[in-house]
Formats: sequence, structure tokens, C-alpha cells
Amino acid sequence: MKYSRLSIFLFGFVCAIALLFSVRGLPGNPTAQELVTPVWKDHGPLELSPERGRFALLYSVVEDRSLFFSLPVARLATPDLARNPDGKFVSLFAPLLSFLLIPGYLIGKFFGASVVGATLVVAIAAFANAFLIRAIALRLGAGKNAASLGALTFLLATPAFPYATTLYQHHFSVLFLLSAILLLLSNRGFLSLALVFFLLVSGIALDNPNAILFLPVGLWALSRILSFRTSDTESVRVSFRPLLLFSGFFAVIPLLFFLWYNSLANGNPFTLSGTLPSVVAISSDGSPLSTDPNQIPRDRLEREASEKTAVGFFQTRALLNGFLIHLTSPDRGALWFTPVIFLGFFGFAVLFVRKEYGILRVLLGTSLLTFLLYSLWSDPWGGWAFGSRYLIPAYAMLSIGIAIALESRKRSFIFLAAFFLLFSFSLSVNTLGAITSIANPPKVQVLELEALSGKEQKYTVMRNWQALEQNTSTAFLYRSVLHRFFGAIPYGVSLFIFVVVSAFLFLYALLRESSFPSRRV
Amino acid sequence: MEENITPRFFGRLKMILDRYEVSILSLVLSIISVIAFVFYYQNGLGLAYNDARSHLDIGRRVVEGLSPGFAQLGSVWLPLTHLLMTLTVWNDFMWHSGLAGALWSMISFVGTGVLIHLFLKELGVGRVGRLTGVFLFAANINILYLQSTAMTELVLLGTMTAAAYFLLLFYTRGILSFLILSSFFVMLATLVRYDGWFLLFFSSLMIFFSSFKEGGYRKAEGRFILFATLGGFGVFLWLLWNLLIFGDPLFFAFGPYSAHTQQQDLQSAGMLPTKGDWFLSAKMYFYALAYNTNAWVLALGFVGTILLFLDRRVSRNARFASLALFAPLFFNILALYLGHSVLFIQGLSGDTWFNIRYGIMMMPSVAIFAGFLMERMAGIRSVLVGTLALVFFFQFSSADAVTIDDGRVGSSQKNVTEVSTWLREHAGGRDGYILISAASHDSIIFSSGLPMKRFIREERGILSPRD
Repeated sequence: MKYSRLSIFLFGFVCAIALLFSVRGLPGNPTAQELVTPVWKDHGPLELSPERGRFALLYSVVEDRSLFFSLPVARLATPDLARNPDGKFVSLFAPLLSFLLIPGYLIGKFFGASVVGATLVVAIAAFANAFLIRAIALRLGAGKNAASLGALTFLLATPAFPYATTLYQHHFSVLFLLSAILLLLSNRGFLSLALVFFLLVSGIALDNPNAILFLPVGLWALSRILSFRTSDTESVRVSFRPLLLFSGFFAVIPLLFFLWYNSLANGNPFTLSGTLPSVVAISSDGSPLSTDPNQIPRDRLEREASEKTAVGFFQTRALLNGFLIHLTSPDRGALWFTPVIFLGFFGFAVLFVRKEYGILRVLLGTSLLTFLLYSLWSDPWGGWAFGSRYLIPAYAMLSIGIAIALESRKRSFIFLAAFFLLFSFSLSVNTLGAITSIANPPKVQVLELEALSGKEQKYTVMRNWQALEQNTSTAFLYRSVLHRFFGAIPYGVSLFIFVVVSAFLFLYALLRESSFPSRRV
Repeated sequence: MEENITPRFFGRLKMILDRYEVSILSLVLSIISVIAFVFYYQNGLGLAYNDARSHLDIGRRVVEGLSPGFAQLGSVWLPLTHLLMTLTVWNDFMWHSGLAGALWSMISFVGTGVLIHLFLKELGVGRVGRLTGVFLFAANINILYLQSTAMTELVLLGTMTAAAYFLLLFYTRGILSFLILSSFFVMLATLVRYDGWFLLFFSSLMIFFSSFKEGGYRKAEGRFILFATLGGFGVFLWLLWNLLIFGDPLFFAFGPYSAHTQQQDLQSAGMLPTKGDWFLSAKMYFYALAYNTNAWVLALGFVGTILLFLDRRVSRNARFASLALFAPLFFNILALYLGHSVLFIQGLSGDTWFNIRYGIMMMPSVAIFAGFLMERMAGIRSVLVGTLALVFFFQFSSADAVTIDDGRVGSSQKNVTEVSTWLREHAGGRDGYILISAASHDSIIFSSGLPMKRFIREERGILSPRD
């Protein structure tokens, strides 16, 4: 087998094994009444409300044929539940993810594991993302080994890993983003541009802030239709390709879907789900409550039941705290959860020096917009979460940077060694999250939580280690089969060793490339 | 389909901008300044600060009261802004609208914006970088608010930035008259706030050391004396004033109404935690800086600072002169450490704001450094512009300004509506005098709307008014 094929096979194999052995779930096709039990909720695959909220819409659409939640489904979605102007319970989230998960849910249901089936759709998106990062890095001049390492970094050494195993929207956002970038890098034709616009607008129906995060790619795509270039003679050359303008019509399809959903569920095509009054709990008689007196304040850092606007969620006063939370805080900071990702800036510097400004603007612009937008967000912690989940699109961009940096610095043993050390550390942290839990409280809630629970509460990755020590794992394969043969710690350690050895093989091959450039493997 | 827009059009546009850039900029800044003043005047926030009302009263007492005259300038606050107010504060509208004081803040706002532009131009920064620097300064809501009030911040920023600019010109062009101009503005700054005194010390040191390196002790001595004589003249006058009026040249520093005395009270109440703690002092000021200048702008400014001081395309002299831009940073941290200054930051030191506006002192510097970054990162300029657009959009949509919060609900406000209304209703239509301690109740005098000559204050005590 030629090395290139072996390389891609090994790469795919590592990604697939890591995802399969960590994807969450329990066997069975639970009903809405069963889903609110602790087996599925607090200690199960739907431990947090964003997962339950999205699953609730999926369940309601498939099982009840309705966008409005029945009382059991509404109870499942709390506290991330909304009430529309007609007083009906609806989802607080943008709808697209729930619809995208339907095929997986149905297939899973057929095999008697509906939640696993739905979760596997997210894992497949994550798997595709790894290949997309690899492909983009290759197009930007990285070799196969460097590109594979960049992609492995994103998938397994950042909080993208734990979020590849559960029902969150982040991997689909990244999928749309990376697909659009790859299309724009590879093709200048009408169809690819049409698909780009389709993907970008779909992203808004997936997660509303994508309207801002996708702007750099959107502007890049628009520059294919209309562009301005200055020349030395101080004239401006305007280039306009009117035919390509029609590619924008493909964006209408997801837009119509989004407006249709908003109109039906939220009562107005332009009312976003997140701006509806939220229902934090439901009383025993079925009436909505805006506060939950019985529940610890998990899942709700920022809940105003009324006067919500899309813009009102973002405040510049929050910026400094947001920066610190995303970068350095022990409960979410990238410095603790994925320090390897900072090497991506070396790659951006390489692009800057090479004057490859077009793609650099997209990669850096998306990273910075993600970082800034969610630093402006009044809840930068992302509720109970593992690492800074909001930064997952930025991790994807920076992973491309890592591939480029590895390629350009492959002769520097120190750089490669630093990468491997940081990669191993980041991998260990995120493997812990992937196979245990993503429900880590923010530090600001810990004292309140300790008072309620009467015991010490950890808020860093040590909380996940504690879970592993207690032989707890949420991984479907472990919970359903492998727990009979392994403890949770050997299970996690085996997974870690498998990935780290694979990554070392790629790194070794990269090192060999630099030692014997003529015999590039 | 491709079209060329004719070079003629751009040539003309460029010519207009080259020739009238500063004039256009001044006009635009003036319009912004007036709009901001009207906005804060109409919503009543322009007079929210207790200190703003006190400043206006001090100016007013010079021209109206039971014993008007320059002696009313007092001993604690430096006199320049109050002296400038006297030109218009005799007019009741100018006094009670706050415009008598705000006018100088507004002029300083325009001047500082232009100076940022000129400073960047001298560093070799192109038009986009220059305009970005000015934009970051002029679109900052804290700046827009403070320039609409009778506070002293903008006048201080104007004089300090002018001093730094002329110092830069001296270092880049080597013309001595720029050094004299710089020392003149330093002198003005020393008459606005005590921050200016530190600038005098800091820039004098810069002059001495650079001259010493250039031409030995004799040159250093000569330039130092030249700079410090004019620069320190304001300090000398203030010491003399305190001696002549209050009998002690250091009355402003250790008198009963001095900041020192107030800080002692705070310390005994355990509310001066920064005293003797470098780390906390730096942390507090960093937070104030980030809240005032906008954390993202500050981050860009930080990167710009590194680029500027590493950039060999900028002359060593220019880089050295740019050190003067850090004077407010060093001063504020030092003042917090020594316990001469107090700063409360909500969430960091209790649940209120106080003096948070001190963080705005670095705004022109941050704007200059960020403007420089914009110049050097030309390839990714659109990204930086995009991020700034995002942040400024949300800054305006959330009307985020810590200085307003401090004046509205923080410890810098003083709601005296009830007592001043009572005073107006019960004493307004009658003859006689009102005995009041103006040192802590100036805002009552101001808000009552009664003439200054109705009030008997500390310095007259129980003496009968002449008139």
C-alpha cells in the first residue's frame, strides 16, 4: 500500500476508533417519560439541558409530529425551554440540529438505541471535520503528516472531542464552515459558490451566532462576485461577475426553512427562539415557572424571562471577564484544556509572512470573531460545560494553523517536541472529558453548589478524573459492553495511549520528512 | 466584467484629504463633541458626578458670591480648569448646564483627537492607521461622556498628549523649540491634575538621560534645566499660592481637605487595600484600564506597543519619545501603591465603583498604539476593522460606559435632589443667608439653583458678610 493511502487510512482509523469508543449513549428507545429519569438525565447521555433541549425537539418532531412540546417533552427540555406568544412550549434553540439528527435517531431506533443513533450523527460530523481540516491544510501547503496532526489536534486534543460525542451544535457549525472554506479554496465555479451560500445560511438556522461567525467566509465568497483591487497607479479595479450573483438564490432554501420554523413555532418568522421568554421549570400542575426553587442553579447562569433581545445577550462590559474565562481560567481556559491550540498562531504567522492574506483573513477573522463574540456573551462559561465549548470553531481554524506551523517548523526538533508534549497533555485532558462528563460547573457557582450538596465540588478537569476514579464513564461501548472487562481508568488510559502512539507515528514520519527531504514519505 | 475607476477621481480625493485632513478631522470631532454634549445634557447625566458640580461651583465663586476673587480657587484641586471656566461661568446657563466646564473638555476632546492623528503621522503611520487611532479615541463612550462634563479628565488628556507629541517632535526633528512647547504643555498639565506632576518628573528624566547619552552631563544639565524650568513653573506657582493663601506650601497635600487626609480616613476604615501592594495596585488599574478603554482595544494597543518598540523602521528616538505615553500608567499604579489614590471596581473591591475614570488616562496612548498596529498589519487590516466594528456595535447597543455607572450609581455620584429641592422651596423666595459646609456639600449649592452669594461657607465661617 502506498504511504499516502496508508497515512489516510491510519488517520481515519484513529479518528473513528477514538470517536466510537467515546460516543455517549445507552441502549434502548426511551419515551419522553423515561428520558426525564436520572438514568438518562443526570447520569446519562442527556446530562445537560442544551442536549435535552435539542433532543426534545427531535423527539417531538419524530414521535409527536409537532413543533410544540407535550408536557413530558417540555419537562425534558427544562430549563432551556421557551414559551411562544400562544403559550405553547417550544424549543429555546435554533432548530436545524434537531432536524439533522432525525436520520440517526430513526436508524438508532431501528437497532434499539435511538439516542446513540442521534449522537452518532454528531460524531460523523466531527469525523468529517477532521478530514476537512486535513484537506484544507493540504491545500495550504502542509504535508500529509502535518495535516493529519493538525486535524487530530482539533478532533482529539481540544474540547471538540467531548462535544463530538454528545448532542451539541458545535460540530455541525464547524462542518458548514470548513466545507465552505474548502469549496472556496478548491473551486471558483457557480455550483460551489451556490453551495457555500447554502451552507452559510444553513449555519444561522443551526446556531444564530453563526450569522456573525460565518461573516469572514461569507465576505470571501462575496468577493468572488464583486471585488475591488487597488493598483500602483492609485486606480481601483472593480470586478463584477453578475452571473455568480444568482448563486445567492441557493441561500434562500435554508432561509425559508428557518423562517418557516420561526413562523410556526415562535409565532413570527423573524422571532428567534432564544429571544422568547424562557421557562426554567414546570410545576406539578403543568404551569410554567420562570425560576426553579427546587433545582440547584445548574444550566442557568443567565435567564431573564422577559425583555430579551438578540443583541442584549452581548455586552462589552463582559469582555475582560470573557477573555480571562476563555483563555486562562482553570474551569474553562484554553490554557488548561487545550494549550496545544496556541501553536496555531505560529501557522497564522507563517501565512502572514507568506502574504497569503486571503485565507489568513478567513482563519484569523473567524477565530477572533468567535473569541470576541463569546467573550461579549454574558455567560462565557457556556453553562455547565467542558472547557470553552464556544471556541470550537476557533479551535478548528487554529488547528489548520497548527498543520501549517508543523510543516514550516518540521526541522525544529524543539518545536516538534513542544508540540508533542502539549498535544499529549491536551489529549489526556479532553479524553477525560469525552469518556466521563461535560458537566463541569463554572467556578463562580461552586460555593453555592457546595452549600447545596454539602460536599466539596471540583470545577476543573479534576472533576472528570474524580468520575473516572469512581469507575464512571458515559461512553456507550463501555457502559453497554466493555465495563465487564475493564475498569474506567484502564479504558481511558488505553484510549489515550492508542491516540498518542498514533500521533507519534505521524510526528515521526514528519521528522523523517525533514531529515530525508528527498525521500518524502 | 471589470472596470477601472479613474485615477483622476482618486487623485483629487487624495489631494483634498492631504490638504484638509486635519481641518476635516477637527470639524468631524467638533460635531461629535457637540452631539455628545447635547445628548448628555438632555438626559441629565452631564452633571451626574458630584465632582463636576463642585468644579463648576469653584469657578462660579471666583466671579460670584459673597467674596468673589481668585482666592476662591481653593487649595486642593489644581486651578487651570477653574480659571478657564471663569470666562463663561458668570452666565447662569453656562453654570447650571455645566457647559462652562464642559466647553474646555470639548475643546480638549477635539484637540486630543487631532494630536493622536499627528502623533501617528510623525511615527510614519498611514491614513488608515491614523484615522483608526482617532476613531478608537473618539468612539469611546467613556471619552464621549467625560468630554460632555465639567470634569478635568479631557483637559488633562489634551495637555498631556500635546506634551508627549511635542516631545516626539523634539526627538525626531531635534528642534529645541519643540522641547519648549512640550514643557509648556507639561506646565499646563501640572495645573490641571497631579498626574501632570508625574509627567513632569518622568519626561524630565527622559530628557536628562537621553541628553546625557547624547552629549554628556553638560548637555543633559542644560536641557533638563530648560525643560524643567518652564515645565515646573506651574508647580512652583501652586506651591507659592498655597503658601500665600493658606500659609503652607504643602497645604494642598496635607491640609484638612486634601486627598491624603481623605485616604487616611479610608485606610482607617480598611478601604485602601492597594496601599503597599504592588500586585493589587497593578491589577486594579489594569481592570480600570480595560473597562475604560475597552478590553479588545486595549489588547490591540498592547500588541501595537510591542510592534512599535520592536520596529526598526521607526527611529530609536521616536520610540524613546513614545515612552512618555506610559506616564499615566506608571503614575496611577504608583499612586494606588502609595495610597494617594483610591479606586473601587465593582466585583473586585466591593460592590461599587469609585474613580473608575482614572483608567481613561491611557486612552490616547492605547489609541496611538492600536493605530500603529493597524498600519503594520496592513494585510489583515480588514480583520482588525471587523473585530472593532463588532465590539463597537455592542458597546453602543449596550450603552456600556463605566464612567457613567460611577456617576450614576457608584460612589462618585451624590443624589442631593431632595435636600436641594427643599432648600430652593424654603429659602428661594426669602432674604437671608444659608450656612453650609461647601467642602462636602457643593453639589447642594449647585443643585439648589440659588445664587452663590446666598451661601456662607467655611472660609467666612461665622463672620458677617460684608455685603
